[in-house]
Order: sequence, then structure tokens, then C-alpha cells
Amino acid sequence: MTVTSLLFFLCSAASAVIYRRLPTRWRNLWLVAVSTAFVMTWSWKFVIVLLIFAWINFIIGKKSSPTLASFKGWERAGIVFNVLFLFVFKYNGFFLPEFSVFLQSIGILEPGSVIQILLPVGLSFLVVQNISYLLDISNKRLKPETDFIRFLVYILYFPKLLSGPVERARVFLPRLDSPIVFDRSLAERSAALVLTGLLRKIVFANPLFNMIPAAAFTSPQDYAGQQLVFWLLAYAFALYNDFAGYTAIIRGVSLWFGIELSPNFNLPYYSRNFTEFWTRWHISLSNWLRDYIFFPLSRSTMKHFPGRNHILNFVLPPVVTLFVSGLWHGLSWNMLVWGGLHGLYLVLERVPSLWRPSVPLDELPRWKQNTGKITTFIFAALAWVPFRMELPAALTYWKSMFVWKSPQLIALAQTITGSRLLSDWTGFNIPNPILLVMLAAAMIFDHFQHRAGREDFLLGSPRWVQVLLVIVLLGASLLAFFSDTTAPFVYQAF
Amino acid sequence: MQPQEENLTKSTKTHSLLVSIIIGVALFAFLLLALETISRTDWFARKVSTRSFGIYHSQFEIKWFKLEDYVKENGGVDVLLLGNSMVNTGIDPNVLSAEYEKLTGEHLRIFNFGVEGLTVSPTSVIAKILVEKYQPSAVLFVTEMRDYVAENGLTVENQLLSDEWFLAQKTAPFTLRGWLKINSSAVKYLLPFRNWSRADFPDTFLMYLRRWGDTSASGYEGDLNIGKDIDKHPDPNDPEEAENFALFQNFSIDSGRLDDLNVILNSGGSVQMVIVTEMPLYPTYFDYFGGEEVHEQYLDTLKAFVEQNGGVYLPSLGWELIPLEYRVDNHHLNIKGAPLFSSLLAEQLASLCNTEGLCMRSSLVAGVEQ
Repeated sequence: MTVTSLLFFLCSAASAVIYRRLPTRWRNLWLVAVSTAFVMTWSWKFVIVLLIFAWINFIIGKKSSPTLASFKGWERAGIVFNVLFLFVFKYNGFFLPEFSVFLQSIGILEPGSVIQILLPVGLSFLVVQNISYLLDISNKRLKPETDFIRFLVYILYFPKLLSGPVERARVFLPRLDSPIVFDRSLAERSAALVLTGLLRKIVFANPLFNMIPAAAFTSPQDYAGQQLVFWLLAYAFALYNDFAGYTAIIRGVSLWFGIELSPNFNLPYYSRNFTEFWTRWHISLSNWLRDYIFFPLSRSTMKHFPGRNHILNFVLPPVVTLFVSGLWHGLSWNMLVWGGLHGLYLVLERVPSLWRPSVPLDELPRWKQNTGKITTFIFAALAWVPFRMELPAALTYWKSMFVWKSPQLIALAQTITGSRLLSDWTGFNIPNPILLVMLAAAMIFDHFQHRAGREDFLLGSPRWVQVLLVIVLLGASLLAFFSDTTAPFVYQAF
Repeated sequence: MQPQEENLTKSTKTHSLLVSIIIGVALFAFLLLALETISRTDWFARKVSTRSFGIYHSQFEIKWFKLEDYVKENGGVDVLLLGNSMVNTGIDPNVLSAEYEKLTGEHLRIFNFGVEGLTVSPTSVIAKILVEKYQPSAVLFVTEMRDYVAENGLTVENQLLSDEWFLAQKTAPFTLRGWLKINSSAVKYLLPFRNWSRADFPDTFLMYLRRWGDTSASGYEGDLNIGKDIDKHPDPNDPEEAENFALFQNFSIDSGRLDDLNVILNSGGSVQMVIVTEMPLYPTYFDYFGGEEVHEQYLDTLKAFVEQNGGVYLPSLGWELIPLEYRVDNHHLNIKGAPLFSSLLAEQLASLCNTEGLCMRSSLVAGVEQ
């Protein structure tokens, strides 16, 4: 069940109504039941895997309590278990073919057949959540959960199951005990989030993804540089709207249960440098990486190599942190390059701080802030190239972006006047005009959110704008309902 | 005023989004209803003709809607021409009708439902639907050897016949989309834009509009191209020809495909006559199948089958009657060849009527209600 389907909203609304009418002691059990049903819409096998995964983490969590002598060992075992779990289910492409050959050679597996392991929905997100849970317990920031049902809600809570946000147990679990009262103002806020999310996903992200020819990611050399530039812009905005849209929808839906989920995006393309970018893009994961990789690593390197400007203190923590981020997205060279590039960006922008004190971003002159925004966006967009495609294609894409070809305007005019047959728009070496309109629309939407300074900015919009957006969303949804293409959430694959 | 107070005033001024959503949904429903109503009027149909069912085969859709318009305009259809792209570009129903009327005095409303890529198998399904819906008095099915090769045309067939619209025509499980595609007029006008966000939308949509415009009211789509090297034998070693040779060189008639032909021959309903014939193919075409002898054997089998099953077999016209420059390739006719062949076909059909009494009749005369 996708979170943009009518069925999802109807089921969620019905579940929320029942949830609110249940006695408090039954509510968590109800959330587990609803979440399990949600997982079962993908596969019943996932339920079994996730229940086993949750049970083991629940036990390890109890054993990781600092009140017990061997808690450090359990903490480490827990981390290893979670990483291994992720490795087996997500990164099995690296070892399964060889393992299958081995099993064939000893006669366990029939010749020619291979073992396949399906990745349970949301596993990457659950693994980082569980690691933070275990670390928080052993670092005395959290007491181990003693109620398995309550812990299951933390793991399986359906709005955040597929693609986060990455919630900390110490933040999430107390919210279960005191749900926010669902009054008119919460209903309005929730509606604003859901509407924003659906607009981002259905009106902006899906069309922008679809407008990029699939071949652009495999044979970029076949296209004009100017087209590749616009397709990269389209991809950057599509990816952002896809994930930010998803997060807004499920945060809105979660409010129906009175449970606030952490924000994940804050207009990342308005960031003035990369340090700021990582406080605005996939915030919950960035915070996790900061707290559980960057800070401990910084502390460790500082201990061994005192001095803030020591090259290792300067380079190692951001680069390693962003490498881990890349690996979390996928065990591949292109993801490593994506992470490495962001690590490099962070290091480079800190270089001036070696000889002069850093000026807070808000205190910089306006032109410097704007230049920073443009530069940050350009380099973030360039880094999306290896995020999207295999490394050889990514290298070709970067190179081909600088090979501009003259637009075939005469051919275009002949086509419009009907004296020439149109076989392929990309042959004109100009971007699809609908793509330009959609890009502009996505930017304007962000501009209004930026100007309002709040994620539920639609609440403050004039009535006619609100109504118009609802009509646009319904129109786009109607066409999408009949469309031959689909665009699943990108981060669902992680 | 303090900034905090300002914010407070601002926030109290905000409109209820929930109310806006309700207004938006209501307005959208009203707009759809209005479109549904307006799109059912003749005025709208005259202004906007392009429609779709959301089927991947846009030419099938063009033919379907053109036929719908044709029937609305002419009060019915008497003869349906069925077949593949050869029929589509090879027979102009207006010429055929005029010539036939000149020779027999019978005015026929003829529509060309030739759709590219279709073999006898999907054509049999389409024929059934069309006959049920439009009750023509005659069906002229133009067939060829490729129709009877079991492996040929399966991709098109599978995609077309598994389409939601086709399934909804049968007693397939109810789907909202299928129901809307069949019953909502507004949806039909919206569906050409369903893939508005696809990278190839400008290409496919403009192509759709062009083909819509190029297809006449009676379903004929002329081809301006003049073929080259038509009289040259295709080379089996040419990579472009290899696929055809591989598919057709061991030609044999598939019994399943003959069953499909039988479905067309027994269309039932109002159909009084099903005529089966072949286009005047240039002899080099038969190289793919093993030569003209194989073709002759095929025609013998076809003739016998058609006649055994109640159809009328019309021998194909001699290929030498159509000059080379009237052809697109060794099996398609161009915009010059189509009128010539149409009038020759009319003569042939008229002679069938005048000499053997096998006449195609107007459905109105035949007493079939439209």
C-alpha cells in the first residue's frame, strides 16, 4: 500500500478514529496491529522478519543496560547484529551469487538456481533507529524498554516504517504516552502537511522524474549538454520533492494519532553552505550521523591528535561521516563517491576557518548569502549525478554536461508549423517545455514556503490559493490514476 | 505593534484549510461534472475531437473514435473494412463507396478499420465488438500470410487485448478505471493527456494529433511515401531483414489462427456477408515465406477454408495493376495506390454482385436498425 493511495488515507483515518476511542492501555496494541496489517500489504514474510528483528533488539536492549556488568559487550553485539542484518538483507548482492554457487557445488542448491532475499520494507531506517536505541541505553540516555508491545510500536509504527524519519526511542516513546490532543488546530496543521506532501509528490516529484528520459542516465553522451543540465535540475527537485513530500504526508497522518514525527526537510536548496545543507536535508538521518558517527569520531581524533586544526581532526570526521551516509544508501561505488563528494565539500568550506574566525551565516552580507545558496545548490546537484547512476555513466554525464549542442530551432519551427514530422523532441537539443514549467512551479512553491518561514505555510495562504492547489492536486491525481507510468518513492528503495 | 502581536494577528487571519479542501473538492467535482455534461454535447465534439481510452495502441483508438463519429454523422455503417496497416493506407472507403455505387447503384457507408500491427487474432476480437456495436451488413477482411504465423504479432496482441479497456468490454472483474474509460465522456477527452509528464509526451502527443488529422472521417490514412527498390529481392543476410526471414521462412498456417478467421467469418448479428481478400502484394514480398509457390498454396487453403465456413473469397487483384510508384514498399500502397486499388476493388465487388448476386447491401435497406 502506497502512502499516496486513497486506501492508505481511508485506512489511516479509520485506524486513528478507533485509536482515539480505545482505552489507553489498548492503544499501543492497536498501533501494532494496524502497522502489522500495513506491512502485510507488502508481504506477510516481512512481518515475520521484522518481528524477529524487533524481538532480538528488544532483548539486546535489556542486556545493554549499564546496570548490568556485561552491557558494553551486549551493546557491541547489538550493533554488529544490526549491521549484519542490514548486510544480509540489503547488501546481499555482493555475496549471494557466490554463496549460491557454493551451495550448488555441495549439492544443496540445484544447478543454475540462486538464492534470493527480499529486503523488508524500511529496514535501513530501522537499523539506524535500533543502533541509536542501544547506544542511548548504554550511554545512560535511555532506560531499556520493558514493554515489548511499546517497543514494537517504536519499530513498526506504520507512518514512519517505510522511509523514516529516523526517530530516537528517547524522543518517540514518550510521545506514545502523551498523544497531542487532536483539535481543530491540529487537524488544520495535519491537513497542511498532507496537502503539501501530496503536492510535492504528485504534482512536482513524479512528473519531474518522468520527464527525464531513462536513457539520460545510461547514455548521457547521446544528449546535448544543455539538456543534461536541465535534467539534472529536474532530478534534484524531483528527489527533494519526492522525499520531502513523503515525509510531510506521513507526518500529517501521524498527527491523526496525536503522535508528532520529527521533521526531515527544511528547504535544503536554500542552504548557504554544506554545513547548513546537512541540517536541512534528511534531517533525522543527518542528526543521527552527527550524534553517532561525527561527534564520537571528532572526540576520538581530538583525543589522539589534539588541536582543532590538526589535519585528521579537520578531515576525518566529516569525510567518514558522509562516507557512512553514502554506504547507508547503498553499498556501491557511486554512493561512496556521492558521500565522498559531500565530505569533501564540508572539508573545503571549512578551510577558510583555519586562518580566520567563521562568521555566522546570518551575519554575512546578503550577496554572500545568495552566492552561497547558488554555489551550494550547484555542487549538491552535481553530487546527485553519482547518487542516481552507476559511476561510469556518472563520469560521462559530468563530461557531457559541458558539451553543448546548438538547438535545432528551425527543425522545431518546421515541426510546429506541421511541415516536418516529430519523431523525438530531444533531437531539438532543447529541454521539454513542460519540464521548464514544472521546475519553475516547484521553485515557486519552495519560495512561498521560504517566505512564510514555516512548513505548514499553506495555512497562511489566501483562500483562493488553497482552493486552487487542491484542484491542481486532484487534477494531477486524476491524470496519474490513468497514467501508464508510476514513480515509487525513491527512498523506499533504501 | 510588536512583532509577536503582528504574528498573532496574522495567524488569526488565516483561512481554514479544511474548509478550503472541502471547497476545492466540491469545485473539482463540479468541474468534472460540467466537463462530463459539456463533453456530451455536439458542440463540444465539433470543437474537440481527440479522445482516448488510455490504450497504448493510439491508432486503434483513432479508428475507434473516428468510427464513432462516422456513425453519428452518417447514421450507421454498412461495410467494415478490417485488417492491418495495409488496409489502413491501402483502401479509401470514399473511393470504394463511390465506385461501387456507380457500378451497382447501391450506396454504402464504408469505414476503414485497418489497424497497424494487428493479425487475424486480435482482429477477430475487435470484429466481434464492432459488429455487436454497429451492426454492419458486411465485413471485408483483408488478410495476408503473416496473419497465420502463430508467433507473429503476439506482442501487439497481448498488449492490446490485456488492456483494461478491452478487459472491461468482456465480463472481466469490475475496475473503476475500466468503467470510467468506457462510460465517462469527460475521461475520454482527458485521457490523451494522461502521460503529460512523460519524457516522450511531446513526441507521442504531437504524433497522435497528426495521425488524428491525417485519418479521414471514413478511417483512411494516406501514406505520401514512394517506395524504393520494391522490385529488389530482400536479402536474408541483411540484418534488417533477418527477423522477417527468421519468422516467416518456414511458413505454415496455424490452426489457431484459422479458428480466429472463423470467428470473423461467423460474425453473426446483422452481418450478411463476410468477404475475405488480399492486397495486391508485390511478388518480392513472398520471398520471406519461401516464394510465390508457397503463397499459391496458402491462397488455396485460405479460399477453401473461407468458402467452407460461409464466407466469400475474393481473389486478390494482380500485382501488375498497381505501378511501383504507387507503392510504399512491397506490401503497402501509398496515397496514389490507395485510390487506384479502391476503385479496382469496387469493380471486383460490383462484378461479384452483378454476376453472382453476392451484393453488399446498405444496412438501412437490409432492414437492420442502427
